[in-house]
Amino acid sequence: MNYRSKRKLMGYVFLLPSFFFLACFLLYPFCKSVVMSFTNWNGMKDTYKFVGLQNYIDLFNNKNYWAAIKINLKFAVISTAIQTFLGYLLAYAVYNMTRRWQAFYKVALYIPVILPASVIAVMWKFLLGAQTGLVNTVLRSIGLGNLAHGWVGEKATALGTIIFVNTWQYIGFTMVLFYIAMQNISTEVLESAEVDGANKWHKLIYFFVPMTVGTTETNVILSITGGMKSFALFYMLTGGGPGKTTKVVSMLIYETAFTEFKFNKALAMAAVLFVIILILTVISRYIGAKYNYENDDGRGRTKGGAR
Amino acid sequence: MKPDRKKRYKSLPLMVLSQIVLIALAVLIIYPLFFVLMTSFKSNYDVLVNPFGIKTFQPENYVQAWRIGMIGKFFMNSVITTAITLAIQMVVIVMASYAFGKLKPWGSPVLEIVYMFGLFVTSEMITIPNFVTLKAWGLGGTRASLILPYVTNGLAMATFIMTAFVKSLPTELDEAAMIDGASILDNLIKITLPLMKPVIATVTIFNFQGVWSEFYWALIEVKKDALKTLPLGLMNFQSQYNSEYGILCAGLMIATLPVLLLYLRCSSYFIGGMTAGAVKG
Repeated sequence: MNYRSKRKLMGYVFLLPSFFFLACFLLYPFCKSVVMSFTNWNGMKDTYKFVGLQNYIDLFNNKNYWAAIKINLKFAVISTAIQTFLGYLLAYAVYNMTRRWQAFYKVALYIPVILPASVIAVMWKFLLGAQTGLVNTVLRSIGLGNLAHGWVGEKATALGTIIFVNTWQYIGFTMVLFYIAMQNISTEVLESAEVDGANKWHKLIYFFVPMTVGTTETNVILSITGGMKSFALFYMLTGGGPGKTTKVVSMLIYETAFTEFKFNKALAMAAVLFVIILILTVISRYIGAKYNYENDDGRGRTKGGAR
Repeated sequence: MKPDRKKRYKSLPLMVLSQIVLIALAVLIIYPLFFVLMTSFKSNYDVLVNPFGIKTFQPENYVQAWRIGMIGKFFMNSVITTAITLAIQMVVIVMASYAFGKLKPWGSPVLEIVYMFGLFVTSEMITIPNFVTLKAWGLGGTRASLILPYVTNGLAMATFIMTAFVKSLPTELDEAAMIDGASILDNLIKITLPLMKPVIATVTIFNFQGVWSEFYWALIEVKKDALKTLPLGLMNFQSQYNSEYGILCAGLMIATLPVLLLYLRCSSYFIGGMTAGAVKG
């Protein structure tokens, strides 16, 4: 056997370990989830039989599920809008700083991103405590005591509070992504714009925004899909309450599968969520591609290279 | 870069405005962390009567949190689980990316697409069968039941990032070594691996974040306190010390500080690792 063929054969050997993991814990379970969502399988016994679309028909009539989807959508869309808009402006603000400040802000604002969501949740539950929490204490000490709330314990504020905590954690991430994209914009283009009399706002609107569409798309997709899948923050901050005001889909799936042991129902829920996330991703990509000038901006910069 | 520096700061009001906004935000982000750090050294009475200052100094909060609150146990569990996961992952991913990047077995473009499928799968779509599989293997609730799926979780993304890097490496060295009769394994270990150091660091940090923070799967699998990782253990800890603020904050600090210090020492790897994952995703 010649050396080339030997290398190619060795390629399979090198792929074996990773393929073992992927096959056992990703590909197989994914296929099994899809198939089993058409059965009456539960966690109690090993036998099952096919029931056609029954689980999906039940799911369609399951008010709790669609209420949860609605909460997820609300959370995802509002978080994404705030984070993208704010993250963008902050990145522009950092971009206008001196080198040293740029480095400082990049590192400082990114700190919460590295912490586990559960740490953030426990921390903010303490800071948002009704009586002794930092937030209410600050409000009282500046004479705004009537604004003090039970935050995570009140129906009116629970979801908004989680959105705030989530934004607090990830604003640095969005900011850094945009900031990196802005640094990749060629200074020659900006200079020639200045020669033509463009001021800072012109540059922001006519150059920075269009030239970072790819990054905006990435941010939106990450934030929307993250919002649809969010679990730890909700589970530990509110546990889905008060009432069901913050009961998100992942929590519903968890309970259906592992406290009620209705595996088939949970799998149908997961499959529909998977499709919804896929659709949201495709829509974001489609809109992004429509406005993306980075693909063919005539300076030989490809989509990948610009980011 | 240099000559246009002056031009950048032409608009002074804009700069001042930017600076005010950014400082306010930095305070909003750093002060809560500082507040928790300060509270972690205070007695409960001091927390209640004197929220913004510190009059007592009670480092025993840390001892209490570490031993009786079991944060020490949870912390060590997280360290062990993460270390084993990352070690296995590294070997597996380096081999896979070397195969895709250099060896290119027949059909490797198709296989790469199969691997990339892993980027889209949501965790809810695999947890139930994984739970059943691991139970059938007699591993339910053990440390291995965390590690095996954790290795798989970061695999697709990491292989994707690393393969792109290996493909960008020059092939001349491999060919020269091949002529000299070096084996494929020699080639990987002596020639390619040393060049891969930066991407290995990036991928390790990226995977570290995923494993260290993981909560959902740990909640499903682990019931025994003795095996709980930090994110999961914090839940017990929180209910235990709900109104003993000093100890609660000490526990939070133990959970936060090691990662924070690591981050402050090599922040560029953290930011690079996370953003590399984001951009490719």
